[in-house]
Amino acid sequence: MTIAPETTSSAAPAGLYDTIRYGLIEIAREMNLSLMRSAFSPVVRDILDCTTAVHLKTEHGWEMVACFEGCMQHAFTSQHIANFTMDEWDLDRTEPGDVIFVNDPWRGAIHQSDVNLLRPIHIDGEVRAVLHSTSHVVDLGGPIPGGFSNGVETAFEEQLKFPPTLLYADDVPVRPAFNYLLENTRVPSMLLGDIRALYGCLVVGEGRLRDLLARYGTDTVFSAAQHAIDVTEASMRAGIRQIPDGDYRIEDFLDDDGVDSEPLPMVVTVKVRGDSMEIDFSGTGRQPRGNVGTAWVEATRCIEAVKMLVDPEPPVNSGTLRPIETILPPGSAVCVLPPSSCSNHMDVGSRSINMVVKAISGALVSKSIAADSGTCATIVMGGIDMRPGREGNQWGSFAGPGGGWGGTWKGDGLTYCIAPIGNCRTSVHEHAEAESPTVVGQMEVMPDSAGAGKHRGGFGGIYTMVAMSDTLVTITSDRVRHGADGVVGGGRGMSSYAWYIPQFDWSKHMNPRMLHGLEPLYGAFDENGVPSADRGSVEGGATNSTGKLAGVVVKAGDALRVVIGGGGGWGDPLERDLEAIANDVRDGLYSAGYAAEAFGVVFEDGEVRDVESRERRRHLAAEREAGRWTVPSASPTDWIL
Amino acid sequence: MGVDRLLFGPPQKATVSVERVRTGQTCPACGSSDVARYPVANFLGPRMVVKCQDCFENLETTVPTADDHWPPWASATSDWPASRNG
Repeated sequence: MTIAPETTSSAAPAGLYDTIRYGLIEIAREMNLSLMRSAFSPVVRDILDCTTAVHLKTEHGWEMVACFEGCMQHAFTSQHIANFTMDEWDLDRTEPGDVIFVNDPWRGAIHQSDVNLLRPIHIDGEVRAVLHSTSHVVDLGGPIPGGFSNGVETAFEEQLKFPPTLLYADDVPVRPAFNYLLENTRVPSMLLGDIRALYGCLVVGEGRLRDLLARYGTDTVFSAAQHAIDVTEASMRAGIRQIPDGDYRIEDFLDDDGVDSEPLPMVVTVKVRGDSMEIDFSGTGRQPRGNVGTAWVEATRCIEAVKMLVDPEPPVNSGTLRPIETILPPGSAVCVLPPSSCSNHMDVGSRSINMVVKAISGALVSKSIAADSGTCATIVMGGIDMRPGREGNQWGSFAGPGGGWGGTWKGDGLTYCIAPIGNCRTSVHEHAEAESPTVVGQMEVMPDSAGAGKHRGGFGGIYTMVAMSDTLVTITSDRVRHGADGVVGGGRGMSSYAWYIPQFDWSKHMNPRMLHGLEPLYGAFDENGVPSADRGSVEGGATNSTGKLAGVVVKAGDALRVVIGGGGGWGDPLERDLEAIANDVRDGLYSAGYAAEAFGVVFEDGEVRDVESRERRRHLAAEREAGRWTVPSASPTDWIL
Repeated sequence: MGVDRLLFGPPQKATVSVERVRTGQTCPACGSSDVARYPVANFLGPRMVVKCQDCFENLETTVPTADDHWPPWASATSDWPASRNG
C-alpha cells in the first residue's frame, strides 16, 4: 500500500482522498466477489479468470481508477478496452441501464473468449463513469471448443467476435444479442449464467459508486480519483528511475505457431530515459500463420513485467500505465492484422513478460528475476457426458497446470503457480470431478523441474486427467524446445511435455518418471527416447513437434498427462547453500542425481558429503571455466523407459 | 471510412519494425536534434507522438488521423450516425 502525501491542492481533510481511493477499490472488489460467486463456469467461479474495474472520465480520456483482478493481465488491458469502446459508442444515445458487450481483439480484448461488459454511468446528466467486468467464458462457438483454436489461421475459424454491441438497454436484455450468443455456443446454460453474473456485478458496482458519490460529493470523488492516479504514476516513475538510462534489447522465440514448425522470433527493446520508458517490439517476426499472435493487448499487458520489478506494491490504476509507451509493429506477432487468428495469446503474452523482465534484469542486476515457465499449458476439455444419470449432457472445463516462477535476487522462485501473465487460480478438483466426467489423477509438483541456481526457480507441475467419457482436449503450451532461461549464471528450467496414457492404471502410472507404455504427444527427446531439452529435439520423439494441439480425443479409461517446466535459476548453482539442496532432496523436489549434476552436491546414504561436495564444485567450476561444463537444464536423471 | 481497413494480407518481410521519422526539430529540454514522430500505444490507446529520442521529452501527442493508419484497422461505420442500439 502506498501512503499518499497530504494534499495541498484541496480543502479536503487529510486522508480523505486515500479513503475515497480505497473506497473505489472496494467497489471493484465487491463487483468481483459478486461476479465470482454468481458465475456458473469453473473458469470464473474457481479459476478467477475475471476482473472488474471502475473508469472515470478525466481530462485525458477514460482512466481506470480502481480494479480488482482475479487474473492480473485484465488489470492492464481494461483501460484500452474502455477507451476503444467508449470512443466508438455514441454517448448521446446512451441511456441509464445500457450495457455494451465487446470481445474484439482489435478493440483491445485479449481474445474472443475474454468477453467484456461495459456499463456507462450517468452522473448529473452525463456519462462520466464506466464500470467494466470481464471474464473468460467456456465456449463461444467456432469449430474448436473452448477458445484456444490451435492450428487455425484466421479469426473466421475462431469463436464469435463481437464489435461493441448493445447487450442490455435500460436494464432490459436485448433479445437478438442474447439469442445470437446462446444459439452459437456449446454450453448455453453455463454461458447465460456467466453473462448474467457479469451484468449483475455491474449493477452492484453502480449502487456502490452512487453511494460513494452521495457520501462525499461528485467533485470530491473525482478529485480523489485523480489524486489516486497521480500518486500511482509518481510511484511507478520513481521505480523506473532506478533503472539506468539505456536501451536494453532481448531476443527470444516461441517454439512455433501451431501451423508452421519454425520458431517465431520475438524482439523487445526496453528504452529508459529518466522516469519514462518505451517498450519497442520492433524486429519481432511477422504475424504467424497460426493463432499465437496478439492483436493489441501487448500494448499494455507487457507492463506487468515493469510493475513486478520496480513498483510491485501500489494497486494498479491508470497511473501505472502513464509513464510507459509501447511500440507495436503492425503485422508483427504482437500486432497481427485482421483476419489473422489470435486465440492463443498466452504464449506471446507470457514471452513478452519474460523478455521485459530479462531486459530490466540486465539493467538492474541488483533486482533481477529469472524467467518463469513462460507458458500456461492451458488444457481445455469438453464433450458429451456418458456417466450414469448424466448421459447426453454437453460439458466443458478448463485446467491450468501450475508452472514455476523464476529465482530472484531475494530467493527461490515460487512453485506451482500460474504464469505472471494471469496469476489466477487453477480449477477446484472436487468441482471439476462433480461437473465433468474426469478424474484429476495428479496435480502435483514435477520433481527436478526447477532451474538450478544460487536461488533456484520454482518447480513446475504435473497434471494428469483421467477420462470417464470420451473427451475432446485442446492443449496450449510452449517452451517445448527449451525451458525458461536463468539469469546471472542460473540454469534453465525443465521444458514442457505431454503424454497420452492408454488404459490408465492407478497402480502403475502415478510415478511421473515411469514412461513405459506412455505415448509422447510432444516434448524434446534424445535419440534413445529419453526426455532431454539439452541433448534432444522436438522432432521424432513424439507424435507432434508442437505443444499447441487441438482435437486430441482421450478415450474413456485413458488419461492425459501434461508437464509444465519450472522457472529459471538465479545465480551460480555451485554457490547454493548445501543445506538448502539437502532440504530440496529430502522433500522430493530434486533427485540426488540432478543435485549432483547441476549443483555439484555429493550425497551418501541420503546425507550431503561436505568435503566431497566442495571438491566436486571446484572441479565443475574449473570445467566451466574451460568451456567443458554448463549448468544442465532441469530434468529428472532417472527416467524409466 | 469504408471497408478498406478491415482485411489485410500478411507482411512480406520476415521481421517487422516501426519507423521513427525524424522531424528536424530541436528538443526544448536537452537541445538534441534527434526528434522523431512515430505511432505508439500510450496509456489511453493508439496515439502519434513527437519525442526526443535522447531524453524522451514529449513535444506532441495527437490522436491518429486516417492518414496515419494507426492502428491499421478501422471500423467501417465509425463515421455513420448512431442508432439507439449503437
